Amino acid sequence: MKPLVVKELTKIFELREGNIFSKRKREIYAVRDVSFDVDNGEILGLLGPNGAGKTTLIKMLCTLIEPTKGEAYIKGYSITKEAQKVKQNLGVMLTGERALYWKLTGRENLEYFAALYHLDPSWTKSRIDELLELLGLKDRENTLVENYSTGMRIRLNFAKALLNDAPVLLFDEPTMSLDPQSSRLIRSLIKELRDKGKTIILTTHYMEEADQLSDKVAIINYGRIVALAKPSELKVKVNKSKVIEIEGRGFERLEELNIKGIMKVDYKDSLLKVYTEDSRELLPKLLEFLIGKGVQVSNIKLPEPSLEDVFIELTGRTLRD
Amino acid sequence: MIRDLRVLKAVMIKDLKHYYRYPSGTLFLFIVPFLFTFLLSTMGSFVGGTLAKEYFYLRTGVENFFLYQILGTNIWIMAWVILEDIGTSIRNEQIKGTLEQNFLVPINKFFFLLGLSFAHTLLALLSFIVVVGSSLALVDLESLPRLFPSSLILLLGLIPLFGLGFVFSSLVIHLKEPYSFTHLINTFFSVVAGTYYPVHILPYWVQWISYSIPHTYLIDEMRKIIFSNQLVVELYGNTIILLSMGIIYMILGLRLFRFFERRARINGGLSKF
Amino acid sequence: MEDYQSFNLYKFFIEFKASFLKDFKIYIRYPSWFVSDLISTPLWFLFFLLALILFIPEPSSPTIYSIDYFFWGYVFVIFLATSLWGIGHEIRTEQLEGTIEQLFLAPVSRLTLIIGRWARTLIVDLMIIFYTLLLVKFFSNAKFNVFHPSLLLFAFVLIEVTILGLGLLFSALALKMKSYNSLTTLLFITLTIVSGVYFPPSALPYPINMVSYSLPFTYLVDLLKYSALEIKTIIEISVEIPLSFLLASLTFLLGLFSFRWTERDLRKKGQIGFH
Repeated sequence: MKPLVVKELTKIFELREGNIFSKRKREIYAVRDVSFDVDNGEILGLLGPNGAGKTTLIKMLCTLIEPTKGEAYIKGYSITKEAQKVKQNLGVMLTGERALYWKLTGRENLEYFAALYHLDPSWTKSRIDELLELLGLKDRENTLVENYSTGMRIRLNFAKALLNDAPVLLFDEPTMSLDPQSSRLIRSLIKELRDKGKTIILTTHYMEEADQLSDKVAIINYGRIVALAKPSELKVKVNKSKVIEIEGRGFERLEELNIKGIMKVDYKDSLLKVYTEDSRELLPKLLEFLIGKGVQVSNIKLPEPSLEDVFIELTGRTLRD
Repeated sequence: MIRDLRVLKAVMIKDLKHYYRYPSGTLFLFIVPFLFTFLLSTMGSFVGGTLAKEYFYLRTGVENFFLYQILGTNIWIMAWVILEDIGTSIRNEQIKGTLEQNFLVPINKFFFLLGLSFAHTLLALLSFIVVVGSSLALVDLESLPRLFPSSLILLLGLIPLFGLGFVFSSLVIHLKEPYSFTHLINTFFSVVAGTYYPVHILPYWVQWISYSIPHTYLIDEMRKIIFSNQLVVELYGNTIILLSMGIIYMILGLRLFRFFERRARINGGLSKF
Repeated sequence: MEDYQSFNLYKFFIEFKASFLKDFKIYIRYPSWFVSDLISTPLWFLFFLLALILFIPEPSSPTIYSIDYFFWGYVFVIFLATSLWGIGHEIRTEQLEGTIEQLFLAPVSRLTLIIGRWARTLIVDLMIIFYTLLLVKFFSNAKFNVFHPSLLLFAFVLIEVTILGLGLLFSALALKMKSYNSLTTLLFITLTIVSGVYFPPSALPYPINMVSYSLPFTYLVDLLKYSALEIKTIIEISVEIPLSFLLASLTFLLGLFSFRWTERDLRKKGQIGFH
């Protein structure tokens, strides 16, 4: 069995609407029939717009929310029946900087959680030292968290998730509101963790981050997984090379571009952009035409679809919707 | 001038809406005085036994100890809430981060405190009418008309209380825990102001402190109007003191506020917390 | 709900110690609250006593009820305030500050964490009570002779078990109710009235005294006062002792049950970190 297996997980929230005399119940599917698995040394990127159900899914996996239906297993332990065992095998970082005690120092926060995770006392000190060093917090370890910057708090929160060296890690927006330098640090650490064989789920708003880190990407929309594959496979699936970019000289000689399949043409200085339904089919005809007209072509580009394009294609929404 | 009044009205409505939308906090002003007075009255009856009423009359000249205590409780809680709310308002905005936003608008910043005071005036008057008025109507209907002159004195007595609140608001600005400070001072004021007893039973040196805070004069004058049926004009001495305290504490509050505002601009303290 | 099923003494000790130390460190880092508590606790007691003086002919008049009588009642009030604010309200603060989810993420028993918090409040309470006692003894003619020390200790233990149960109950309430803050003062005064803290339930009018007789605190306060002052108990002492034991245990179980139920309910609704 893979370290993280999710089977038809569903969460329905009941909302009560109306005034005190006539309350009506309304059911909202936050997560609907979600199934996937993640292997050792694999990162699953969970992408979705705000309110798509990412955080609910993460919170179900870490036992903070009880699923309405379905089941998930962390290292073989059921999230509904063996909560304590699940927690022992999980390292979790939830969004935000308010997950720590502001009146404790960075080290004291980690010591406290180390005790709650039952870390062996002989190992606790060296583990905390190692993590503080790793996240660049060693020189501020004895400062109260209230005097930390936002970036430092998020890094400490990340360190907290790694404390128990759990085989399965869940990171909810780990680089949100971090400066580029800290984000890079966190990303490289996530990669290192994967290389060490950890099983990781990562939710993010940053497409490049998901593209860079994830071995598999799940796109979640209105509680459902609408696509689940490697980033490259997803891009191929969309195959949305709909633009041909040509650099060259002599475009001014063209009076019109009358080739079947061209939808729109943009021309500025030495760059010509041609929009079409299928760029690969159009390209040979277009080149023949341009050369025939005496245009000197110096560069041709068929831009690859980005994960963002995949996302918009599948959900009809942008990530920040 | 009209523009200023409009600003004051906007601030007052904003603060009143706050109380309206958190009704459980506001209910506190109307329910707690009854509960607390019930507790104290039962304790008193228990200690004094069958002669409790007589002893109380001998010591205070007031027959109905429930009325005596509910008046004290009402003013005590009112003053407590005013000092706490106004005293911590600036610090709270600083912690929440909205203080800078309020300082960005082109108006006199003192209006924020004044607007909050107006909202409190309405609340205080309402709670006085409901708590003391309903108690008088139930227990001593004859004294009910005295509610009107005592309400006027209440309005007068609120001015120095607000002034004191303004003084607090500038004092707690550097404290990380403003509530612990206001809690301590409020407890102290409750004891020395003679909330449930005439201040002359306190040691002589404590009375000096009692007579330097508005609570003492306010409670004393209210008691004289309601229980001794004295006229406001007869109590001109007390009234003048309340008025003078109003002026002194208001000016002091304003001065301190201006001082704080200037310093905050110099050292960038508006967003510090 | 296996969280509560397996009990391991070593794990309990580690979790308890971590929770206690964390709460203690945070507490001492708010020194202004400690100073405020230290000064205002005796002041409140004085406030009550001064109000009562008017009901006797002279401040020095002997009454059947001494300052000791009210002091022991006040001790219970301090503990009650602890369960409402020190335990119940603190969990609300954790919810507002966002740390509560982290506690629910760790493989620990929430009960142990609350016991750790309760232990912190107990130590501070005992310090403040002792200090207030010294002050009262210094400024008054109160004797503070204890009639039955071991029974007093027993009553203290029962009261603390009850306070822990109440703390759990109030924690559950604080997690569920948004307006817990304004409710606390109402609950506090109501419980002070009906628990017969400053007077026996017989001093209360009917039917309020019936509520008193049905609450566990009434018998616990009564037992505390009996063991300290040898006053007449509400019921025969040989019955009151086992009854108090039973009621304290029931309050604890009720607190535990309500906390577990609330935790489960919040998991279902996804509202653990909700505020």
